[in-house]
Amino acid sequence: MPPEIWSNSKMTTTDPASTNLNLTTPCVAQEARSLNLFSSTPLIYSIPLSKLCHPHPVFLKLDLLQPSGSFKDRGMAHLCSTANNEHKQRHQKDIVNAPKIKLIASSGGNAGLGVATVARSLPTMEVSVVVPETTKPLVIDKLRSLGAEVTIHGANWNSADTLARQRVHDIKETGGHAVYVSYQTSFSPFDNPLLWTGHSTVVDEIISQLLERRTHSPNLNIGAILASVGGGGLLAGILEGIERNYYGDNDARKNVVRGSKVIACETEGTASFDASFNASSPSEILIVRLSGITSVATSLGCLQVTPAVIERSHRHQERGKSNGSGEDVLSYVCSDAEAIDACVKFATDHRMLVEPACGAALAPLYTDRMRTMLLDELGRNDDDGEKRAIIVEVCGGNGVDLDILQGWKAKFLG
Amino acid sequence: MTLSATTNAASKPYCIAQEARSLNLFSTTPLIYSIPLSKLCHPHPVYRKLDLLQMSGSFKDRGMAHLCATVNRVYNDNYRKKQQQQMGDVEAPINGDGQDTTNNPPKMKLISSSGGNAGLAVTTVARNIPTMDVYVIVPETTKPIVIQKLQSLGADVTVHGANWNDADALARLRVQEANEEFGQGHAVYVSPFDNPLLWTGHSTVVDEIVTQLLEQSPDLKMGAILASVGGGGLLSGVFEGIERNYYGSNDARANVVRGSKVFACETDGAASFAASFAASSGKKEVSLVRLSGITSVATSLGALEVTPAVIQRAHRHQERGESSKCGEDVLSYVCSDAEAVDACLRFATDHRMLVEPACGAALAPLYTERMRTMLLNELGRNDDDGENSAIVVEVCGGSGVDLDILQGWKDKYLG
Repeated sequence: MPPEIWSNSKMTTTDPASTNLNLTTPCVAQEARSLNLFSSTPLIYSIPLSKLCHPHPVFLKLDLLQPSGSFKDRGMAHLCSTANNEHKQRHQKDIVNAPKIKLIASSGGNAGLGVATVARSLPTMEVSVVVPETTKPLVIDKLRSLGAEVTIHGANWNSADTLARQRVHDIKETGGHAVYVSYQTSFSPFDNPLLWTGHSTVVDEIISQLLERRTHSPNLNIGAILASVGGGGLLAGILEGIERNYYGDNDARKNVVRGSKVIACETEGTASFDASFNASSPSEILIVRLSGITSVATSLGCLQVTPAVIERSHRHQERGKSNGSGEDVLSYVCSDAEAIDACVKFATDHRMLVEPACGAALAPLYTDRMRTMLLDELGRNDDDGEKRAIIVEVCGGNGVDLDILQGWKAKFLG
Repeated sequence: MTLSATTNAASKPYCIAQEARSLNLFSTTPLIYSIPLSKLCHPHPVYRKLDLLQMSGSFKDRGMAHLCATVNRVYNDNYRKKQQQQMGDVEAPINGDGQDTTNNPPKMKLISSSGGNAGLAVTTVARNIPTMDVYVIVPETTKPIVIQKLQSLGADVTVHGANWNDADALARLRVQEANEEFGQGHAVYVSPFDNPLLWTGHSTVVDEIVTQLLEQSPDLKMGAILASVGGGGLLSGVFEGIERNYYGSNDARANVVRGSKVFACETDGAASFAASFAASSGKKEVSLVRLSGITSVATSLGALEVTPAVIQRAHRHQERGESSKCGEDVLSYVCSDAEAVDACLRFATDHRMLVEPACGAALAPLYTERMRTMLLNELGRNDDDGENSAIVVEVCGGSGVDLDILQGWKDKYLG
């Protein structure tokens, strides 16, 4: 029987699921970690989900426990600690009087909250968020309470974003240090790889946590990892983390990621990854731009994914083709109703509230038709099912409370 | 903060309930800073001890883990001794792996009376122990969602009695009958709160909190700890953990718990601790007051009287305060059902986690203005810098809540 325990203590204990990261492979974003700009989160065994997916044990990576409420702290932490270092080098002669780095975001959502939360701890940084007029007052209050300067501008996100980018440009023109923070890769190709690298830390932790459980469950490995896809930053990071450990010099860690299937999860009205993934082939990456977002999962609301996530997906699939160990990337799309149903069931099973964007990564386990597909995929391997764990990245998100979820439940589940 | 200082400091006192820990029968849970609660309680940083993340859904796994690990070991030892006695001087046959191949003991029965969470905890913990079968007797007030969870975990569930005390009487009777039929030791009564093994298991929460606060900063102290009180098992464990670190040889750890104020939190209608604590005030002996009934929505706090141990331990903590002049104290805080439910809703909004009103009782002193004012006033009397005097909330959890149940309470109590 697999151990049903996890921990978030940084202490060395005999607890096999401790998040004290005895990482024998040097891991990335060390500085961000040591500055506590993001957290190591627990990996917990889910009794009800493991029952549904028997014999595969199901583990939840609780990134909803990050300080800002979603996984985004990982990427933002690495981006901020990197900018902080550049700033110190640039102004080493007069760091006290140096002007602050201006982080300018155009997200009233989890990215804006993420950067505001992370930058609170860094005295060299100021956060400025430009949000459209449609943004809820509650969100604006929250951003301001985190110390961010909030400008309300424009009828929609594009207008707000245009102003944000203009501000970055203006500051740079006058010799200042400004960083544009966004997941929209077509506008900021240089900042985003930092976000992906920050996100990739989630895989380092998962591997360490699974290895610790091996004292009770020999050969436990990642059979499947499910993650939601908005702009592709999280998934790009997960694929980076898998790759780093796959080609690293630690055999045990390599063993955990070998054969892993990466399940990219979206809802029907936000399926930008699915569109580009299906349109692309190993020889040609074609990015499809959606005409609009028509899903309740607005946190996934990116019209097109970053090409890097398609490229990295292909690389993972190639590993599978050349090794025959089963590596693959699959695109799973659920309906809004299925995503919300997953959120409701997750609230009953684990008493945690997540957004439908996160529900999209739980739907493949809670929804019969999708679970059948997934277990069928996993069943094709020769390994004993009980060694092939299903990991759900519980990415979290702030845009949910009791009333909001009850409202969706009434609307979509009748 | 040098890593070596805190690693040395932390690794030693994780020796309590070590067997249960190494068998993974309970979890070390995160202690997480709360931005919104810290704002409300400025300058005191507020930390949530997320015991709702224990495998069964509440803190009770701690106590049950230590109890089950201990009972299991004693049961196996006794059985082995009995087998060897029966075999006389003949040595036990050893197989190629060096294992004693005398028969494995027959399964023993753990019979628990529980309003739900204790039954879930013992069932969840005992799933990992092959020699134990769990029987849970729950009162009629128990929610269907909890009964379903118990059954899906493999417990044999009997619904009996108008309140926990009635269910408990039946549980004790069943243990007696089983022992008469199958021999003494075959069945063990598992109290939801009244057993020193449970308190010792629960005391592990303080060991973790001390370690985790030291990890944050060597200057942080546990200025206040808020915990809900039902039968008093959790609080007895909290006092035990504070005492162990207070008198331990590690100065850094002792410093964290020095001056700590313990807030015993209940709802009006389940305030058995408040009643006995008030009646025992200023006395050497404990005066236990038994409530006539539970009239609160926080049914998980529903024990008519607390264990005397919690009052004794509370007095000892207060005595520390009187002699050390560092500020140690115990305060009994009682909130209304509406305040407990309001705290649950605000916690759900702030942290997206669902807890029962029994747990909300420990959050109400921070969310409810009248109580927060009292609490901050109490803390303000210390000389410490407020920003180093942390408020720790034991988020004890509980499975008797889901979206609809919480919505129902919201409609009923908050209009």
